[in-house]
Amino acid sequence: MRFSFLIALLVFHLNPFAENDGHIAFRFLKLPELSLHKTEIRFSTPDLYGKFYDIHLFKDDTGLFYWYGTVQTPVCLTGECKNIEIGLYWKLTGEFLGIEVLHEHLTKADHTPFLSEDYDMLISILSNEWAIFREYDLEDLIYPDLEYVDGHSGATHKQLIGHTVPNAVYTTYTLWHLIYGDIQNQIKKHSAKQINANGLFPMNVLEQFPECRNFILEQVNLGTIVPTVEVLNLAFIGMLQNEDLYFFQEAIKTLGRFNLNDYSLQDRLSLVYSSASLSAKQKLLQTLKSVDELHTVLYDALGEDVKTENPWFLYNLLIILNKSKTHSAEIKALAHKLVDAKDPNLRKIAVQILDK
Amino acid sequence: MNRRDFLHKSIPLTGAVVIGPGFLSMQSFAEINRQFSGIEKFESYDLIVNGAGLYGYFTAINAAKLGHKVLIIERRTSPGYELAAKKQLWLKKSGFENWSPELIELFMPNQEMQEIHSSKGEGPHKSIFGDELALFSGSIRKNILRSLIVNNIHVLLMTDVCGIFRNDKNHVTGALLASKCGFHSVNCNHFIDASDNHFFTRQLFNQNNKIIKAGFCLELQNVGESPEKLLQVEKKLGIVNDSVILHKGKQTDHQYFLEFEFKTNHELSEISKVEQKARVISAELGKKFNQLDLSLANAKIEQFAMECTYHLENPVLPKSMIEGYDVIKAMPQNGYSCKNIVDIENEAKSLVGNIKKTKNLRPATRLLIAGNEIPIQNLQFEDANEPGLVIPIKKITTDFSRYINSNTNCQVLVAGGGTSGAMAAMAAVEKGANTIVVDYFHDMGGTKTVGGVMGYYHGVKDNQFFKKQEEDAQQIAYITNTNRKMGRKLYHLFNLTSQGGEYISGSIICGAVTQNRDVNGIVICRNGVLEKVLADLTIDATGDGDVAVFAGAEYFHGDSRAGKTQNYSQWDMVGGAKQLPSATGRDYGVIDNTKLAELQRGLFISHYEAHCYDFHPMLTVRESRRIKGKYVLDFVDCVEGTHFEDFISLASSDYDPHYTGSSELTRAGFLLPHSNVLTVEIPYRSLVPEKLNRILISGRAFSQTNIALQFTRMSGDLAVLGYLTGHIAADITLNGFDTHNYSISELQKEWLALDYLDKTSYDKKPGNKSRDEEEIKNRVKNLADGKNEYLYECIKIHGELILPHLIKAFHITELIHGKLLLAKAIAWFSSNTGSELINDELKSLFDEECKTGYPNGYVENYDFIRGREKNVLEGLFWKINQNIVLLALTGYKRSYETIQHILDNTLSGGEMVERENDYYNGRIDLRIIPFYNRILNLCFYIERNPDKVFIPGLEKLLQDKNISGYKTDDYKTSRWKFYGADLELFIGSTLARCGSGTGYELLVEYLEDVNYPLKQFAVSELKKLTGKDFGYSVSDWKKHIGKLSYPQPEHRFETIKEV
Repeated sequence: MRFSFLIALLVFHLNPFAENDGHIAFRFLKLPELSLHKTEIRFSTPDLYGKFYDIHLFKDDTGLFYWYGTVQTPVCLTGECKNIEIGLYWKLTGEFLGIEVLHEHLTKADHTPFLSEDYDMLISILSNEWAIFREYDLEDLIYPDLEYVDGHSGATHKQLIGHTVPNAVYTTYTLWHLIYGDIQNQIKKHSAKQINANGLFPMNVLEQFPECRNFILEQVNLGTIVPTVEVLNLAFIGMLQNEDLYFFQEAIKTLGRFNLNDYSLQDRLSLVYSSASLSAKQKLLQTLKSVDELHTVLYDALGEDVKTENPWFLYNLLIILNKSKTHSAEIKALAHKLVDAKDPNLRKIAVQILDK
Repeated sequence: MNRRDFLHKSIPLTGAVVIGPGFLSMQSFAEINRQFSGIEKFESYDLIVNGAGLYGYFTAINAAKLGHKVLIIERRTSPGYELAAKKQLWLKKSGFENWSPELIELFMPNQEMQEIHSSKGEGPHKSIFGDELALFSGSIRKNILRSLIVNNIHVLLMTDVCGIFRNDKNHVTGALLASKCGFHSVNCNHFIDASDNHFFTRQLFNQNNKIIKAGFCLELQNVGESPEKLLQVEKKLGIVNDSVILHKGKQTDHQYFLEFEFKTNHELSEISKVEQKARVISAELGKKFNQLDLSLANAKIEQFAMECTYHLENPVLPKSMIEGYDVIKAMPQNGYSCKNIVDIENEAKSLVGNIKKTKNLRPATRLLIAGNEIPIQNLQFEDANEPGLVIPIKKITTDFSRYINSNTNCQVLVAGGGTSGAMAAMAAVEKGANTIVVDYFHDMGGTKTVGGVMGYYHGVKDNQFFKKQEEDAQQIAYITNTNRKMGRKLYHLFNLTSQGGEYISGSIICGAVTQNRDVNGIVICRNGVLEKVLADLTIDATGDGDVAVFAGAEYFHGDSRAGKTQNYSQWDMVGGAKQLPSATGRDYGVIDNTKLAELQRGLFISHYEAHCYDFHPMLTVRESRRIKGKYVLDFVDCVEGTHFEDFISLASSDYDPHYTGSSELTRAGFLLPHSNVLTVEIPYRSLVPEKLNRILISGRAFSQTNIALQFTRMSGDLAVLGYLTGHIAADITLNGFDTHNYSISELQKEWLALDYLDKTSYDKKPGNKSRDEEEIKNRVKNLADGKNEYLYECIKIHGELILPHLIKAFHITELIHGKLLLAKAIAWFSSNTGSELINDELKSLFDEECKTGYPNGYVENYDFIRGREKNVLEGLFWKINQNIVLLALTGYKRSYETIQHILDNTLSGGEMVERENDYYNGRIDLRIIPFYNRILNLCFYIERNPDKVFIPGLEKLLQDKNISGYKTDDYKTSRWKFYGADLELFIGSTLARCGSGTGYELLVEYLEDVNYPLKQFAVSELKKLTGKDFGYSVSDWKKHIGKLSYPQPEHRFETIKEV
């Protein structure tokens, strides 16, 4: 769908933010059906020139939240154009959601306003987190005559063709950098803060928005979201499903953030372990290395696999099994057998088991 | 401008002035090159110093001043480790008043003044802040190295001493050296251990110890006004005294160094764990900056130190048990003062005063390594094959793994934690494999982090894993208040270790553990101790194929004509300064980094040229060996977009060889530098060395041709490839598969589900269109219809398939332009049907060029070449060049006259062309004389069709002052001259092939060139032309060619077209 079509649709039929009652020259939203409500929550961030502006938290009807801020920005290098007010929208994950140009249209290097095809191109560039602008500083791309493009580090005029709005390198560059970069990390940080303060979203919402679910697990793994019981429940949902591999992998990763000595957690893990693939089992065993004490249920679940012929798998299993205070007769018998194994790792762990 | 005017136009030669603050003079190059000139001949050093820290430096200098012949060996990439590597860039100023002018110049060269932006310092260089003197890391590293070199001390960097030879009188006779080039021995009469904390001696003599405390330093930028010197930190960080100390830096007003100490309890062999703990604490500190002090609210960690300072449980000096073997005194434990420096100098003087010149030592009988002693008769020595290197080393081919008792085991071993390796390790551990990654540095990331090349200028960005890794790394940087580069280092560390992976850092990979065709692991050297790391599967991610070659793999290196690779570069750091006095990154000449001497030469040059504030420790070598695998990815796969059923990942780049290029494709203008942006599939079989088991290659060294490499070497692509290789390795080991018969189909499905594998490529029909008969006919038809772009489309097809169609079409086509195009395609496949048309066009184009001059395109120009519609040549210059090459391939006799005419009317065109900006001017492959490519192509023609008629024309070229005189036998060389010398040498070899004595003489002269790749080409040409082998002996070759009568018979260059 052409974005210019969306402009008409959005400008006249959608206005989620009541305070933007001034003229909106252009608006694009990836989720046009959104109905958002402003909250009191906000944070300040510097624009490209170090001037601070506010970014506000908005909620939709499901309780998911989004971030929105308006910023005044120059659109030409010569200072001849008036600053333009821009509204920027992000999802809680930091993903670009939309943009609006308030009051007046964007202008190009020759001070003429953007046409609908220019906006189409602009949106396609702004929707690309790996646009060419990501790797270049403005001075690498543009000279005072606006359209001379330098070859530093390989960018050339021809390379930029198709990657920038014609005759508007500066505008495109500026808007892209207002949307991407550290601002996304700030949004992630503030989203994590909100989740820490208010808890996770309902599971049915997370199911509907997998990117939010994955965001939560990623942030737990990065240490910005606190590993609560709710998170653990989410992780177990992830580990016990097999439709979304990424969800599964991130869920397993979060385990290291919890107290794995907890009896009930180990109990639940035994279910995960029993239904996991060999690779996932290996992964779980690696994670369990931080356990101080292995409880019976998980011990028994792990013990099911000791007949494996894979020496590394067996070694990893025995390391974890040896975290139990006592051993079953089967494990002891196995250890006796392994005392003479060819593999030095197995010999070593067998001795440790027998010593216990 | 007409041709005459153009040829005589004087273009300013600014290339002689090198960029960088050093403004390297001929004298500088003379200094650098002395160690590689092959002039000195001796058997043994009076003294070897192990460790080029401050003690080692002063010891070596004072010994040299007493007339001793000294070699200093340093395992890091730069000297001065106590201050530079540990980032202790401040000295207590007490005692500064007693510094000699030499000492001041050593630590604070005038050159650094233009990089000091702090306004608050006092005294010399505004470097005194309170009771401290601030230093620059770059100044220390540059100047200590230069001082060693000018004092005629031989230096080996990135090399570690790992054993001592002794004789039956228990006297030291030499040292065993470990490097990425394997093992070497060197003789000496006296040995002094100046290694960090005497680690080498302690472990050699089994004097075990523990690291009980470590110190670490961070460089901060953006620190606010007047921070407190001592800042309290949270107890849970585990920092000694719960406090950190700030020291003012002199680069900017907001630069500081943050110092902290933490307790440890690790054996010396667990030093990596200490280093990792330092980084974890640093990250935690970074997260808390805004709570530490108001002044740190906006502070960012600019750099970590490269390594910790270590405090030992038992600091008593270790005892040497060998005659002629000394250890330096203990180092200060709590930072250095200016007085300490003077004391160290004095102690070093007194130490070397006791060294006596020992002559006629009895030969070595045993080699002592940590944990073992080896009878000399068990060792195999051979010539080191390091022509030019004046250090008398011998290569040792013994399998040292047999003598090493220290073993570490894992499922997946990743040798090299760089761009690709760090990702491979992360992926293997994510899959649950017991994984160890081994790297030379204490931080992972290689070229991207330690080399500083953080940008992704090319490569496939539309890959979910690629995006995720970069996003995560950047978020870690944000959370920990580090810059992007440090954030990436932490990203690698956290992702590996938090999931149970192990990182063995600070290790030189110097051997492979093999049994028949099986690779069972690697041999490493850490702080002078040899260790084995054994694995079910090894991923060679060294980038140079080091492990595979140690294990006996076949490999390719550089281009097929001369073995030349891309040039290397080194990047300076900018820190808090907005810009440096000159460009921050520089391209240098071509080195062969599989040679120890070349590695040293590269490091020396980059030290001389670097800025004073700081520079990255790693040379970024773009190209090295490529290991021959089960499949060799080539040009046709790249340009035709071959789909492989076992494809792992995509790579994309333009063709940017950082080199003028010698392949037929480039010479014919089909593959010009900076042209042809392509996306390429990489098959699993390219990662499997043909003759080895239990090893995969990851990173740029996988099996591919030199041309394919240019499209696959981008860091983002190698990161993805590395990651997926890690998955493969884990899968192989977890399921007991073998590398040669492994199918990646199951993993492909997994990657598709994760959006890590390109679905469009996956769904393609295997193979490519170049073998499809209909497609071939279609291309030929379009060519016959006179469509220029189809010339490129036709030459990409295998000759045996398309040539009959081309010839048939040629005979039936009436369209003149179509006939000419068909003749060109036919010529590409070495048939001369229609060559007269090409010859006629060549004459006509050249006449036109003589009249009209050269509007554009006579030298490479990014925008002129990049983005050309369908790769069609524009401008006269390259059209002429193309016809010369096509006629060369046919051997069409009537073209001799045309070529002779062009040759007679060709000169250099002037001096190196000034380019339009600093970046182009910094690219030594772009700063060339105007007619460089024309002359190369004339040589290309003549060496394939040698004839005495060409001798006068070629000899005339050598009279041109812009072409001749680039050989560097009198040290007069510079990186700018590499490509000049390359051209001159190529003319020389072409002359020799025509039988000219001048050519033979030039080849022999180049045996003395300091550039190994040129020397190596000259010797290979001489061998081919004469059928003799005198190695690199100039006198023997001179004697031999002096006896020959000239002109010698012509010697045609026979080759298989490079793809």
